[in-house]
Amino acid sequence: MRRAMLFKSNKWWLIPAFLLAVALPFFVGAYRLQIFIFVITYSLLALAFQLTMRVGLPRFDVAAWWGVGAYTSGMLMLKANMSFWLTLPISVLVSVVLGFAVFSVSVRRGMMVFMMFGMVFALALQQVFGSVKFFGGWGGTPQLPPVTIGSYVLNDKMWIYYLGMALLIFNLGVYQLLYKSRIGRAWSAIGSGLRLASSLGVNVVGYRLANVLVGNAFLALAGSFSVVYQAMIIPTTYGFQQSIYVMMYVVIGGLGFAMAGPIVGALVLTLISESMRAAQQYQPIVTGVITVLIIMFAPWGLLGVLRSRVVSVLQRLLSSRAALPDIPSSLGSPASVTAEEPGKDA
Amino acid sequence: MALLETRGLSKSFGRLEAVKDLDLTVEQGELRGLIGPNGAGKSTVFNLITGFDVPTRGTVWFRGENITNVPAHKIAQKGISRAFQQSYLFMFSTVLENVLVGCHMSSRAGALREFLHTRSARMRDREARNKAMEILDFMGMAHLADEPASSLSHGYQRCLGVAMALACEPTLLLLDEPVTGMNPTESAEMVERIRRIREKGITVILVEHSMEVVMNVCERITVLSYGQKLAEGLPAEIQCNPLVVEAYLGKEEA
Amino acid sequence: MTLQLFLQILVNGLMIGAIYALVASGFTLILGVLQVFNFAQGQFYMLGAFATYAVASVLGAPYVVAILAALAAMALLGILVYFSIIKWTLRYGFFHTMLATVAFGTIVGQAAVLKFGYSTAVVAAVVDKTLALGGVSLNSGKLLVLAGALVVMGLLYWFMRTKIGVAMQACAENREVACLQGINAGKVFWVTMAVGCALCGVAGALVVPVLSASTNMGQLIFLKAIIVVLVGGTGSMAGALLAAFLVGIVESFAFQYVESFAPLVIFALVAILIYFRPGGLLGKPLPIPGQ
Ligand SMILES: Nc1ncnc2c1ncn2[C@@H]1O[C@H](COP(=O)(O)OP(=O)(O)OP(=O)(O)O)[C@@H](O)[C@H]1O
Ligand SMILES: [Mg+2]
Repeated sequence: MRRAMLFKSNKWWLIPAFLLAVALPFFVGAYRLQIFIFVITYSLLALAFQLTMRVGLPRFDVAAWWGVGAYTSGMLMLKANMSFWLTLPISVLVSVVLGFAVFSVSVRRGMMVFMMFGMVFALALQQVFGSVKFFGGWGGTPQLPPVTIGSYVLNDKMWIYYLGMALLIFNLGVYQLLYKSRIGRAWSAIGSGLRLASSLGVNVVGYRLANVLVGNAFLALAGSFSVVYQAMIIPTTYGFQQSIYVMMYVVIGGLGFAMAGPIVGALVLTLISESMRAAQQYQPIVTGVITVLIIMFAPWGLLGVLRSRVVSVLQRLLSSRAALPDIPSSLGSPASVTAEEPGKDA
Repeated sequence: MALLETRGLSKSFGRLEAVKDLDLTVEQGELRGLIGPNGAGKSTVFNLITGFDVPTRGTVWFRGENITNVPAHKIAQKGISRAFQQSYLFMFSTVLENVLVGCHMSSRAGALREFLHTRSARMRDREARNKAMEILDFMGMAHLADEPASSLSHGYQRCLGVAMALACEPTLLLLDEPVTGMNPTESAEMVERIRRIREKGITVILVEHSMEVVMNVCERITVLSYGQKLAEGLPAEIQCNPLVVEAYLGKEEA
Repeated sequence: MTLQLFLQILVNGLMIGAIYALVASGFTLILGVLQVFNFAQGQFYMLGAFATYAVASVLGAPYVVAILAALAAMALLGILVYFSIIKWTLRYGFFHTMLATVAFGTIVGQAAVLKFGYSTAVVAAVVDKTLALGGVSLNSGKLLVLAGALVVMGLLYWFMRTKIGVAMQACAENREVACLQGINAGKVFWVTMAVGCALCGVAGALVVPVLSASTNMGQLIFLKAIIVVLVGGTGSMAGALLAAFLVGIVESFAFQYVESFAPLVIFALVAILIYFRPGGLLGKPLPIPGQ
């Protein structure tokens, strides 16, 4: 009975996962740790993508807002000699305010316009970063000053890793609080039935806007975080292709898994591409093929496969009624992500 | 002042005039029947009232206020809810969660409080849950609260649609064919519930194909045909109106 | 500004616009009929350009033959993509098909980089005489691209009025009703894929003699097609054609005056349009899922 209870809560794996994450720097060297720092950054990006998927809006401007965070922090440190920690709130503010200006145009026009407008914005923004002298041009900014805590220079990979972990856990905590609240309920409702939600009095545009801006805030934080371990900021890092990879992370991890999906996806894809370092030019092809295969044969992603395996094993073990609910997220079936009656938007 | 009034309401889809110059007046506390052959424009009228469609011409007035171009969620907030003709539910959430979305408007505690799950927010949430359970109980499906909506039988899915609309605490409830596809027992129960909803003081407009049901529960009936009002009056008057009989000829038992 | 310069920029804009029009109308067609957001659209354009290069420059065939070869190859590839990927993901809905095309586009893009590298491939100009018109000289190669694109648009117009074209329009308007009327949706779908991809292939073929082929041209034109579709209205063919020329001309003039800030000008144009005319230039967008 107790065992059944343990497995019934689908959070049991959190404890070993957390311990593993904390212990990681003691197993791997500095070079490997840098890879995991990338994984953290990509997880933050993928989480923001997953957040807006919750309200039925795929976004392809993830990398652009990530760049906004990085450039805000980097420029403030370079030009205004500001402390890194002070730039964090400013970069969140810039991302949210600029995001408000951009998205208040596009969110009310529905999913298609939101998506495409985001791409156009990302294109324009990258051009700005690349062409404006102030930002250092296509070659990147000058060497960034080091990030310090008091007089300690933060350049030990282990502490950077832990900083990233703290950011990730903070992100997950905020999402958890949001998802469990009335706000999260409204978001899920919008994602799985936009017209129905609006007929029940949910302000679709308002809640979508709030959702996208929360995502923007965390993207800016991820951008600022990337300043910690980068020598300089190069505009092409924040291009369209990166946004596409972010989308792949989410789908490979599992679209229905609000928290674990993006992280698992980012982890798996980054490790795969890292293990192919010798044949780097083949890496996008492998990623693409994996994504196609996942979409065709496991539309629920790796976690979806894992879960259905775990469920069937548990069912056999406990030989009682289904131990786990089928799908944890509001997204429901893949089809329901956009299964909307065609017609007028709210 | 009438509760709901439409003046010259019209809607065209391309060349098709789905609703044409409709003047409809519904008083507070009424249980109005809206009938008509398939494609007469009944659902379109509901869409126009609730802000899901923008009328080509004409206006909608609710409690003396023009709500013609008001967005759907604001109309819901003003007190008009609807149950859809298709079983349109949050299929992958549980029954209770579905109704909780219906409680969205009444469980507001402020964004920051909700985010931080403060005591007042948790209390609001508990209240909403209680209210949702009460409504489910009223609809006779409290025992299904934790089932996913997609696993419900057709009859219960229709009930859930009505439950969600009720959770909005409406002044005016629009029901689009609530008993379609139900077996006779379920249908009789639903009719009984519609009566009780009305006794609670909620004004109801009922679209229904089954003449038996409409004649039974409604005290006034409006007949639509090709988007136009054909007749309006007491059930008995409607039943022997030659125009109505003609419109329905070969279609219904009327 | 001299008349010479003005006309040169205008011709340039019209030429780019014509290319945008072909790619964007292919994109809109697939979006409207299949309700698939084809991220790989630009890659067909790129492949079309390289196919033309292969046939014309490497094999040495006449340019017209190369265009037809590019058209046929891209139509076939489109059909192949439909039957191998899209058909199997359609049932999962909009997001999954979109992602499938994203992945396919990434694969094709990188495969092209492996084959051709980052250098550019050029097809010898078909005509390189400058055309002198009353004291104004114009690049006749660009005019030829424009003429070719107009011919293709004429063919497309004719095609949309054939039986299968009408069926495609019916599917775009309302798939269920179309199926009820006895339209074979499966056939319409693969034909749409073929036509949509062939349009991109032709665009790529037309453009190689003037702008050389490079492996990153696909993603660039895809983003341009997105801009065009936003300006023209999602799902509207006529809107896309009109918007393509508008965007082409605006871009061409913006490039002359603000150079690398041209994307910002375009962004502002799109933002203003979406704000004031959500349905695009011509309004009346087709229903697309998930609005
Ligand atoms: N979005 C739309 N686009 C085009 N035509 C529509 C649309 N919605 C409804 N119609 C048409 O308008 C007419 C009225 O439709 P409506 O759904 O209001 O009829 P109804 O009275 O509810 O019929 P039923 O009894 O079958 O539910 C029909 O002919 C229908 O085909
Ligand atoms: Mg109806």
